[in-house]
Formats: sequence, C-alpha cells, structure tokens
Amino acid sequence: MRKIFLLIFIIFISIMESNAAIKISPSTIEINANTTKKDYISTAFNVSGGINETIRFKIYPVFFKYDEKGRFIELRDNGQSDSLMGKIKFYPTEFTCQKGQPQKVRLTITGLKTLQNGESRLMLFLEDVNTKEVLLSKLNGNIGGKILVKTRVGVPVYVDKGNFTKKAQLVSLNAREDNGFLNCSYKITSNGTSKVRYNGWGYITDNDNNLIKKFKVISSNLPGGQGAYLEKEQKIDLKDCILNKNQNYNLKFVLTYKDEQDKEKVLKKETSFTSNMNINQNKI
Amino acid sequence: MKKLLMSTIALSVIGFTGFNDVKAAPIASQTVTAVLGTISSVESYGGNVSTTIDDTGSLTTPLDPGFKIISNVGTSQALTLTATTTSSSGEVNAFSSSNGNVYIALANVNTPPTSDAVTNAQSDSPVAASNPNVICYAVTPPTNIEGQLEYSWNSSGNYYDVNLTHQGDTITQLVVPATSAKPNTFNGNDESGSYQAIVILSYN
Repeated sequence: MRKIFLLIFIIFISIMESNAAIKISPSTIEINANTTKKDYISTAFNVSGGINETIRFKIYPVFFKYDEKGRFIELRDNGQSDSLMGKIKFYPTEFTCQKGQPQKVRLTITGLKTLQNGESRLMLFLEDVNTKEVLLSKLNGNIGGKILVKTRVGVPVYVDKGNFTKKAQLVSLNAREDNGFLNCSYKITSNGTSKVRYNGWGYITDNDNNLIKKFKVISSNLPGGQGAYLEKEQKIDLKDCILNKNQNYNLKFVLTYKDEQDKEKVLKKETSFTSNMNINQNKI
Repeated sequence: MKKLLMSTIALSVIGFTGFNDVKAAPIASQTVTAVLGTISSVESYGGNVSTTIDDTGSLTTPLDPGFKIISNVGTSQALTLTATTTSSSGEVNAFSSSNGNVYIALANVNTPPTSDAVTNAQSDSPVAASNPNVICYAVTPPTNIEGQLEYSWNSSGNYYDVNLTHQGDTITQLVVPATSAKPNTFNGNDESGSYQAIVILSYN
C-alpha cells in the first residue's frame, strides 16, 4: 500500500515538474524619467504560472546587452554608466503563484538624477525554483539519468532620461533568390542614445513596378549608442509568386520607428535580384 | 357604457403613447475596451525527462524535454537554451562542445563530481580515471523551425542562442538520444545513483 502511495506521489511530482510555466505581462518595461521631478519612478508587471500548478518564482536582476545579431549577452556588473544595477528595488523577490493566479511585481528605479542622459537598462529574470528532485529506485544496479527542466523569463527594463535621441539608418539591403526562397539581409545602424524599435514591410516588384509580394519585415530592437548596429536576415517563401528565370526583380524595405518625440520616422532601401529559376510558371 | 369604453380606449392609447415616448429616448452607446498587453511566456511541454543508464553507460531511452514559447509581439525575440549541473563546488555549465558534437554532462546527485572532473569529461580527450561521477552524452542539434525559431550554438558561452521570429505558440525540444556515453566519461568510477542536469530555456 505504501508503495502505491509512493508511486502516486512520484507521478504527481513528475506532473508538477513537466508543467512549469511562466507568463509575464507586459513583456517589456520602458520608462521615461523625464515624466517625473522626483528622484524615483515606479511601475509594475504581472507574473503567473500554469493554470494547474503551484509554482514558486524568484526574481533577480542582470545587466545585459543585445549583440549585432540581436542575441542576448549577460554582462558582469562593473558599475557601467548605462546600467540600472543597484538602482532598482522590486517586491516581492520570491513568491508562489497558484493555479494561474497573477502576482503583481512592483519595481522602483531610484537615483534617477544620477542616471546618465540617454538609455539605462537591466533585465529582471523570473525563474521557477521548484525543481524538486525525484530519486527513483534503480533495478539491477543501474544508475539513473535525469534532466530537470527549468523555465526563465526576462523582463527588460529600460529608462530614458534627459535629452535622449532615437536615430536609425537602414544602410544596406541585399537579396538573393535560392531554390524558391528569397534570402533578404539588411544592416540597420543607430547613433542615438536610446534604442529604436522598428517595424516594416517588404515589397517585391517587377521592373514595371507591379507588386508581386508584400511581406512583413520581422521587427527588432536596435540598441542605442555610437556604432550600434544590427545585421538581420529574413527568408521569404516565393511559392505564392510567379517569377521568370534570369529576370530582374526589385526588393524594397520600408521600415518605421518612433523617434524621441514619438514621431514616426521612415527608412527606405531598395535593391534588385535575379531569379535563378522559373517559379510557378505553370500557374500562368 | 359606450362613453366609458371610449374613455378607456383613449386613456390606454395615451398611456401607451406616453410609455412609448419613454422607450424612444435617444440611443445611448458605450464603447467597451479591453487592453491586452504584450505577453512573454515559456513553459515546459512534456517529453521524457527521466531514464536509466545501462551497464555500458548508454541511456536506455532518449531524454527529450519540450518547451512551449508564447509571444503576442511581432518582434524577433532573443532566448537562450542553457544547461547546468552540480559539482562539489557549485553549479557549472553542463553543455560543452568537442570534436564537432555538443554534449550534456549529467552529474551524480548523491556524490557530486569536482569541477575539475566535469571539465575533464567535457574536454576533447577525457581520461576515465579523472572524471568520476560525471557522464557526458551527445545532444542532437535542436531543430530549426523555418520562419519561427532558429538555433545557433554559442561556442564562447557553450549554450544555444535561440532567435524567435514567430507570433503565437512555438513548440521546441532538446533531444539527448539513447546512445552510449562520450568515450572515457563512463566507467567503474561512476558511483550508482541518480545523475542529472538542469536544462533552462530562458526568454531574454
């Protein structure tokens, strides 16, 4: 009887582990320090776990940057001028969420007057701490292998202060047709003091300016700072297009972002490419 | 009687008219608004996370933890897939690469290996006697999902960078196939017990 209870307990714990979930909203915190005359500013976000689980979270801050490919790089805190480490207070620091119920996490950025002009940032990580170990009895002297699964979600916190600027340039756009896909690559630079979040559309046209395909450019965050840039690639499926082999086509990117005045700025770039094969000619 | 009937009808008409006047008040409308904020969510999503190791050091069944990533933002998102294991001096990176393969190190929970033993097991030329209580297994390169999710191995940090470009739900998985251990990482020096690592999918 005790073995049955033990088995049920182990299954229960296994189910608990296999459902670990973290949901955060909003996913990014962006604060304009110019909206207050105080030396601190507060906001909050919501955290919840899976609907059928009780999950314990811990929160901790990390300084970071995104590299030129948009990859996350964790940085050691050396008191960098654009870091919010040591200037953030949040509550609670560890808590339990039950059955998907949301928990509000309040955070306060202090020492606003000591922040640099432009952007400062950090990432608040929320991690499930409930990785209970399950030791299974081994038969025949075997040893057991096990992987515990953890989930972690970061909430980037950005603070803009003073005369911050958001300036971006679309400096290059290249396109190459390869086996029914259009490989688009572009470089976008930033020389403002705050990050830029851009969106946009891509247009494929023929030489008579007839639209062949319109697609959404996958948007991204472009870090601020001297020499900051992103090199992105996007693969476009041409199966719904009709292209002729050896014929030239045009690709145009029209990207938009909001500047420091919240005004929309437009970035445009155009290039051409040659189709290496007939695509969907039988559809004509 | 006729007068009474006529009066009743007249009053009824006036009454109904008055009632209708009340009903015919100007139409009022209210806009109902619900604001949905941006959401980042990641959850473990099934898969086998427990197996046994046979007398030759091979995993008897694959380990294949799954994850579900949810985003309602049409922006590319950075994630990382990392792994840690426990040495006698604390948590260490469980992922490593050598000779073109990515490995995950499972360490004995009851008798954790030294960090030197983990480093030795993760090297290009491990020495069996120098890595007790840690066993390495090759990892299948995670599968990219066209237009949704792209993995790239970060050789300087020994983890996977994951680029999410999909709005909605995305399912992904790490697979440790049921294969033999990395040569010279399993032998009689490895004590019986439970060997484990922690795989972390982080939404950055």
